[in-house]
Amino acid sequence: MAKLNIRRLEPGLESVIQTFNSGNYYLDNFIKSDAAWNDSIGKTYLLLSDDEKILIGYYNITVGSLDMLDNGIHKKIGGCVHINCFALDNRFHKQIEVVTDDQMKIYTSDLLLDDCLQRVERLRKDYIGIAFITLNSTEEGKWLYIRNDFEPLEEDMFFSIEDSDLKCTQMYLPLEFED
Amino acid sequence: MNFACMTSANVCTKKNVKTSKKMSSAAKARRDFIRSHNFSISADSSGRCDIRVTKRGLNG
Repeated sequence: MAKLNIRRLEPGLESVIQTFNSGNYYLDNFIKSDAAWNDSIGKTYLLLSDDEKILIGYYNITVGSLDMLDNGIHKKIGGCVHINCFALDNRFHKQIEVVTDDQMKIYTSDLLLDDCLQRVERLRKDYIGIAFITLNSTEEGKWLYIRNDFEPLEEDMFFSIEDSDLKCTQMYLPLEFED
Repeated sequence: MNFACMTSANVCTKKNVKTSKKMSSAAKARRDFIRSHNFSISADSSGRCDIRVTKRGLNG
Protein backbone atom coordinates (compact mmCIF):
# COMPACT_ATOMS: atom_id res chain seq x y z
CA MET A 1 0.00 0.00 0.00
CA ALA A 2 1.19 3.51 -0.74
CA LYS A 3 2.17 5.80 2.10
CA LEU A 4 0.33 8.97 2.98
CA ASN A 5 0.37 11.12 -0.14
CA ILE A 6 2.25 14.22 0.95
CA ARG A 7 4.05 16.25 -1.68
CA ARG A 8 5.96 19.48 -1.74
CA LEU A 9 4.10 22.15 -3.70
CA GLU A 10 5.46 22.00 -7.22
CA PRO A 11 4.40 22.81 -10.78
CA GLY A 12 1.55 20.63 -11.97
CA LEU A 13 -0.39 20.88 -8.72
CA GLU A 14 -1.92 24.32 -9.37
CA SER A 15 -5.39 23.02 -10.20
CA VAL A 16 -5.79 20.88 -7.08
CA ILE A 17 -5.34 23.81 -4.72
CA GLN A 18 -8.03 25.99 -6.28
CA THR A 19 -10.95 24.41 -4.41
CA PHE A 20 -9.28 24.39 -0.99
CA ASN A 21 -11.51 25.83 1.72
CA SER A 22 -10.38 25.80 5.34
CA GLY A 23 -12.88 28.44 6.39
CA ASN A 24 -10.10 30.95 6.96
CA TYR A 25 -9.81 33.64 4.29
CA TYR A 26 -6.14 34.22 4.90
CA LEU A 27 -5.08 30.56 4.80
CA ASP A 28 -7.21 29.85 1.74
CA ASN A 29 -5.67 32.79 -0.08
CA PHE A 30 -2.16 31.89 1.04
CA ILE A 31 -2.19 28.47 -0.61
CA LYS A 32 -3.54 29.98 -3.83
CA SER A 33 -1.03 32.84 -3.88
CA ASP A 34 2.57 33.30 -4.93
CA ALA A 35 3.52 33.28 -1.25
CA ALA A 36 2.95 29.52 -1.07
CA TRP A 37 5.64 29.10 -3.75
CA ASN A 38 8.07 31.60 -2.27
CA ASP A 39 11.16 29.91 -0.84
CA SER A 40 11.97 33.04 1.14
CA ILE A 41 8.68 32.70 3.04
CA GLY A 42 8.59 28.95 3.57
CA LYS A 43 8.17 25.55 1.99
CA THR A 44 4.66 24.25 1.39
CA TYR A 45 3.67 20.60 1.74
CA LEU A 46 0.34 19.22 0.57
CA LEU A 47 -1.68 16.26 1.85
CA LEU A 48 -3.44 14.91 -1.23
CA SER A 49 -5.95 12.16 -1.79
CA ASP A 50 -4.53 9.03 -3.39
CA ASP A 51 -5.71 10.06 -6.84
CA GLU A 52 -4.24 13.57 -6.32
CA LYS A 53 -7.55 15.24 -7.21
CA ILE A 54 -8.34 16.58 -3.73
CA LEU A 55 -6.21 18.76 -1.47
CA ILE A 56 -7.02 17.59 2.06
CA GLY A 57 -4.65 19.90 3.94
CA TYR A 58 -1.36 21.68 3.84
CA TYR A 59 1.37 23.22 5.95
CA ASN A 60 4.09 25.78 5.29
CA ILE A 61 7.29 25.86 7.33
CA THR A 62 10.19 28.25 7.71
CA VAL A 63 13.00 28.86 10.19
CA GLY A 64 13.21 31.24 13.12
CA SER A 65 14.20 31.42 16.76
CA LEU A 66 12.57 31.35 20.14
CA ASP A 67 13.72 34.37 22.10
CA MET A 68 13.62 35.47 25.70
CA LEU A 69 12.95 39.08 26.58
CA ASP A 70 15.22 40.01 29.47
CA ASN A 71 15.13 43.64 30.63
CA GLY A 72 14.08 44.73 27.16
CA ILE A 73 16.78 42.75 25.40
CA HIS A 74 15.97 39.85 23.10
CA LYS A 75 18.11 36.82 23.84
CA LYS A 76 17.98 33.76 21.65
CA ILE A 77 17.02 30.57 23.47
CA GLY A 78 17.28 28.34 20.44
CA GLY A 79 16.70 27.94 16.73
CA CYS A 80 13.35 26.68 15.54
CA VAL A 81 11.32 25.55 12.63
CA HIS A 82 8.24 27.74 12.56
CA ILE A 83 4.96 26.46 11.17
CA ASN A 84 3.67 29.46 9.23
CA CYS A 85 0.41 27.85 8.17
CA PHE A 86 -1.38 24.62 8.96
CA ALA A 87 -4.84 23.98 7.61
CA LEU A 88 -7.30 21.28 6.67
CA ASP A 89 -10.12 21.60 4.20
CA ASN A 90 -13.41 21.94 6.12
CA ARG A 91 -14.78 18.87 4.38
CA PHE A 92 -12.19 16.69 6.09
CA HIS A 93 -11.94 18.38 9.45
CA LYS A 94 -12.00 16.09 12.48
CA GLN A 95 -13.19 13.06 10.66
CA ILE A 96 -12.21 10.16 12.86
CA GLU A 97 -9.84 8.46 10.52
CA VAL A 98 -8.61 5.62 12.66
CA VAL A 99 -9.69 4.06 15.95
CA THR A 100 -7.02 1.65 17.14
CA ASP A 101 -7.60 -1.58 19.04
CA ASP A 102 -7.16 0.28 22.33
CA GLN A 103 -9.68 2.98 21.25
CA MET A 104 -7.08 5.64 20.48
CA LYS A 105 -8.41 8.09 17.90
CA ILE A 106 -6.18 9.40 15.16
CA TYR A 107 -7.41 12.28 13.03
CA THR A 108 -6.29 13.61 9.67
CA SER A 109 -4.72 16.55 11.47
CA ASP A 110 -2.59 14.15 13.56
CA LEU A 111 -1.27 12.52 10.40
CA LEU A 112 -0.41 15.83 8.77
CA LEU A 113 1.22 17.20 11.93
CA ASP A 114 3.29 14.04 12.39
CA ASP A 115 4.55 14.35 8.82
CA CYS A 116 5.70 17.85 9.70
CA LEU A 117 7.37 16.61 12.90
CA GLN A 118 9.16 13.82 11.05
CA ARG A 119 10.39 16.27 8.42
CA VAL A 120 11.79 18.52 11.14
CA GLU A 121 13.39 15.55 12.91
CA ARG A 122 15.18 14.58 9.67
CA LEU A 123 16.45 18.14 9.25
CA ARG A 124 17.63 18.14 12.85
CA LYS A 125 19.35 14.77 12.58
CA ASP A 126 21.16 15.34 9.28
CA TYR A 127 21.36 19.03 8.41
CA ILE A 128 20.81 21.84 10.91
CA GLY A 129 20.49 22.36 14.63
CA ILE A 130 16.92 22.94 15.75
CA ALA A 131 15.77 23.25 19.34
CA PHE A 132 12.04 23.92 18.94
CA ILE A 133 9.05 23.90 16.69
CA THR A 134 6.98 27.05 17.07
CA LEU A 135 3.67 28.25 15.67
CA ASN A 136 0.86 30.73 16.10
CA SER A 137 -2.22 28.64 16.90
CA THR A 138 -5.79 29.63 16.26
CA GLU A 139 -8.25 29.13 19.11
CA GLU A 140 -9.86 26.14 17.42
CA GLY A 141 -6.48 24.63 16.63
CA LYS A 142 -5.07 24.60 20.15
CA TRP A 143 -6.49 21.18 21.01
CA LEU A 144 -4.42 19.61 18.22
CA TYR A 145 -1.13 21.01 19.47
CA ILE A 146 -1.80 20.43 23.16
CA ARG A 147 -2.64 16.79 22.53
CA ASN A 148 0.65 16.56 20.65
CA ASP A 149 2.65 17.99 23.59
CA PHE A 150 3.09 21.60 22.45
CA GLU A 151 3.30 24.21 25.23
CA PRO A 152 1.71 27.67 25.14
CA LEU A 153 3.89 30.72 25.65
CA GLU A 154 2.55 33.05 28.27
CA GLU A 155 -0.07 35.46 27.05
CA ASP A 156 1.41 38.68 28.34
CA MET A 157 3.68 38.78 25.30
CA PHE A 158 0.86 39.76 22.99
CA PHE A 159 1.96 43.40 22.95
CA SER A 160 4.05 42.65 19.87
CA ILE A 161 1.34 40.84 17.95
CA GLU A 162 -0.93 42.37 15.36
CA ASP A 163 -4.64 42.88 16.01
CA SER A 164 -5.46 39.97 13.73
CA ASP A 165 -3.42 37.68 15.98
CA LEU A 166 -5.18 38.52 19.22
CA LYS A 167 -7.18 35.31 19.29
CA CYS A 168 -4.10 33.24 18.50
CA THR A 169 -1.67 31.66 20.91
CA GLN A 170 2.02 31.24 20.33
CA MET A 171 3.07 27.69 21.12
CA TYR A 172 6.26 25.67 21.08
CA LEU A 173 7.49 22.11 21.23
CA PRO A 174 11.02 21.31 22.48
CA LEU A 175 12.62 18.68 20.28
CA GLU A 176 14.76 17.17 23.01
CA PHE A 177 12.71 14.43 24.62
CA GLU A 178 13.48 12.88 27.98
CA ASP A 179 13.31 9.14 28.47
CA MET B 1 -10.49 24.39 9.54
CA ASN B 2 -7.44 26.45 10.29
CA PHE B 3 -4.94 25.53 12.90
CA ALA B 4 -2.00 27.91 12.54
CA CYS B 5 -1.66 31.33 10.98
CA MET B 6 1.29 33.43 9.93
CA THR B 7 2.39 36.29 12.09
CA SER B 8 5.09 38.90 11.78
CA ALA B 9 5.62 38.89 15.53
CA ASN B 10 8.71 37.44 17.13
CA VAL B 11 8.24 34.22 19.06
CA CYS B 12 9.29 35.58 22.40
CA THR B 13 8.75 34.96 26.09
CA LYS B 14 9.67 36.54 29.43
CA LYS B 15 9.65 33.24 31.28
CA ASN B 16 11.84 30.20 31.09
CA VAL B 17 10.80 27.67 28.51
CA LYS B 18 11.29 23.93 28.57
CA THR B 19 14.25 22.96 26.43
CA SER B 20 13.37 19.30 26.86
CA LYS B 21 10.32 17.41 28.00
CA LYS B 22 8.99 13.93 28.58
CA MET B 23 6.62 12.94 25.85
CA SER B 24 3.13 12.20 27.16
CA SER B 25 2.06 8.58 26.97
CA ALA B 26 -0.88 9.45 24.72
CA ALA B 27 1.25 11.41 22.26
CA LYS B 28 3.88 8.68 22.25
CA ALA B 29 1.30 5.97 21.59
CA ARG B 30 -0.21 7.99 18.77
CA ARG B 31 3.17 8.73 17.23
CA ASP B 32 4.27 5.10 17.46
CA PHE B 33 1.08 3.94 15.78
CA ILE B 34 1.33 6.50 12.98
CA ARG B 35 4.98 5.68 12.33
CA SER B 36 4.45 1.94 12.24
CA HIS B 37 1.55 2.00 9.78
CA ASN B 38 0.90 3.14 6.25
CA PHE B 39 -2.13 5.32 5.55
CA SER B 40 -3.87 5.72 2.26
CA ILE B 41 -6.67 8.26 1.84
CA SER B 42 -9.29 8.34 -0.86
CA ALA B 43 -11.56 11.36 -0.89
CA ASP B 44 -14.10 13.00 -3.13
CA SER B 45 -15.37 16.54 -3.52
CA SER B 46 -18.44 15.85 -1.36
CA GLY B 47 -16.19 15.36 1.64
CA ARG B 48 -16.46 11.60 1.78
CA CYS B 49 -13.19 10.34 3.07
CA ASP B 50 -12.00 6.77 3.32
CA ILE B 51 -8.75 5.74 4.91
CA ARG B 52 -6.98 2.41 4.69
CA VAL B 53 -4.41 1.45 7.26
CA THR B 54 -1.85 -1.34 7.07
CA LYS B 55 0.97 -2.20 9.39
CA ARG B 56 4.34 -1.46 7.86
CA GLY B 57 6.59 -4.33 6.94
CA LEU B 58 10.35 -4.40 7.21
CA ASN B 59 10.66 -2.36 4.04
CA GLY B 60 8.28 0.34 5.25
